[in-house]
Amino acid sequence: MIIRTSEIIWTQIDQILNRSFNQNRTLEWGIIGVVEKLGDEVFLIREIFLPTQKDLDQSEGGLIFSSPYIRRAQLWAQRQGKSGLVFFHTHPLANDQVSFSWFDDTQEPLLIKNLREIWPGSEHISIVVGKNAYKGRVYLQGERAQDLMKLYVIGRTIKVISLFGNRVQPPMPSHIFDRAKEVTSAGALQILKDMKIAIIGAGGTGCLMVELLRRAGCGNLLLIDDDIVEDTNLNRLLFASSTDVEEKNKKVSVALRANDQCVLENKLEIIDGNVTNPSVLHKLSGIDLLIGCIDKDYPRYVLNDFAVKYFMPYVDLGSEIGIAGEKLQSLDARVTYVYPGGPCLNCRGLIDHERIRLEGLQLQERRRHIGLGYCQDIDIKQPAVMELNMRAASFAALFIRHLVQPFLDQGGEMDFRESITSMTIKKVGLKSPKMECAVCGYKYNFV
Amino acid sequence: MEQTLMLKQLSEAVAGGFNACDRMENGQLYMLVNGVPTLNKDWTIATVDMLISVPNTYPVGGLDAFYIDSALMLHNGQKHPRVQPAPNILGKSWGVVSWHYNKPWSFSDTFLTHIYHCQDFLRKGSRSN
Repeated sequence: MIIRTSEIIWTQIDQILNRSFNQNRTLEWGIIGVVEKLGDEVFLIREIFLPTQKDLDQSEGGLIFSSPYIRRAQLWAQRQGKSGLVFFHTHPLANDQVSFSWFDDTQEPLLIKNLREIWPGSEHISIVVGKNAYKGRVYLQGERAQDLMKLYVIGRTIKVISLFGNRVQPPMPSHIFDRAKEVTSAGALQILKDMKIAIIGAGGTGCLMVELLRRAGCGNLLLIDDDIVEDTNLNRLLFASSTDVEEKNKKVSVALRANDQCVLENKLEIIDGNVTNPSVLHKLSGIDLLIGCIDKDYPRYVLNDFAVKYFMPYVDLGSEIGIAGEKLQSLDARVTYVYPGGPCLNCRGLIDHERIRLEGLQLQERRRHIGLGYCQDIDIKQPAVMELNMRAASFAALFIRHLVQPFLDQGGEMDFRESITSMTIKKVGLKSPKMECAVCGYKYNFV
Repeated sequence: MEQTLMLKQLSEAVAGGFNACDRMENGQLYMLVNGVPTLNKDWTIATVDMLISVPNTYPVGGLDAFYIDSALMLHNGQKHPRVQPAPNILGKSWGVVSWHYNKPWSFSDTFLTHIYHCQDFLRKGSRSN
């Protein structure tokens, strides 16, 4: 089981806990947060309650959170329908190894028991923090405490904190990756190997992303698409053949067949489905990174909404065409990163609600609406050439390496568009100044 | 769209005094509203049937435009210039009206608010443009 939180929340938690290591190294510090369960494998920390001096008592040989402090967090969480609480506390003298103390092992079950008396069915997490190590456990309903594996901090980068209690040295990677270690070190490679990455869309861009991520060392890929291979896909769909067209094979099956023949030791799972179907979307609960390779606005909206709601890092990419009259005006490869606390695709004007309306109409009805002057470009075929898809996929794969081991010079918002017609790279702007986004609530006052 | 949301919004439209129900043709969902008051003496009839196509991406994909019974005429014997010919749907002849919102569709908009929006076209009679 893992925990996920945002960089904004983690910075606040870290500031409190670091007091134990920056100041007098005998004082334990702690903080309480609220957790929400997502699927069977993930807990989200969305909210924290900053402690005051009187909320933390150390007079009995270990840190005790005051009853009013716990009560404050518990009442809020219970009212909001959350799953439980997370308790962080420090062991100031622990450095590269940390474990729960005898005091923790005796006091914590009593605390959990008390909490469950007033909040039946709640599930709680405890994390003990040393200077360079973390250990975590979760009290699930009716079960003994279970160890937690990792804490993902999602922001402008992805930070992965091991909860095993020691500073983990990553294993030596396979020599296959020797020539990539300057850009992706052993630690970053281990993160890529362990992360569960979902690629939504197995078309011209999605199939390239599977290939690039596999060769970057990503160990657990999930590919989702419900399309079959058509003859017009053969100019850009890796590993697809005319037999796949004749047999009406699914695009995901083609990718799986190629993966099975590959010598790299990665897993590829496939789902023949669409993320606009709630049961398919639900399967993304245990995913650590979403990659959108889709050319329709409604599934993009659904993914964006899911990422925003559940603190998921989401890389959206695509090729885009601009036409004025009969003339091709622009050919762009775009990559956009959505993370908690940053602007989402809606803020950036990358989701067109008029298109979503028209996408939801049956063909005849849609044509009637287009005839009335609505959204003329919806039926324009998107660019479908491999070279352009490769520009976007290449940027996105490099950017994913950057997320786990930052190397890009430029900070700031993570999205850009390469114009092939002008051979320039530009940033994607926000929709309009001084607005609050209806999807993510992001407030921005610049363009 | 979710069945529960559709039922909720249809019920709200009925509670708002409109004879609204759902209909399906060729996989396309419609809301049929019978006997909508035309609210303006410019029209030759006092009530009219209205048909609204509902995208399966609703409510993210909002409602826009509507069909109106082709019998709707102005007293000058003309059809309203905003009413364009449309094919038969649900076995009935319609005209289609492109009647845009001034603001983007929002989650506070519903079937009922869209009927009000469409009825605004009728209320303005020959002045609708």
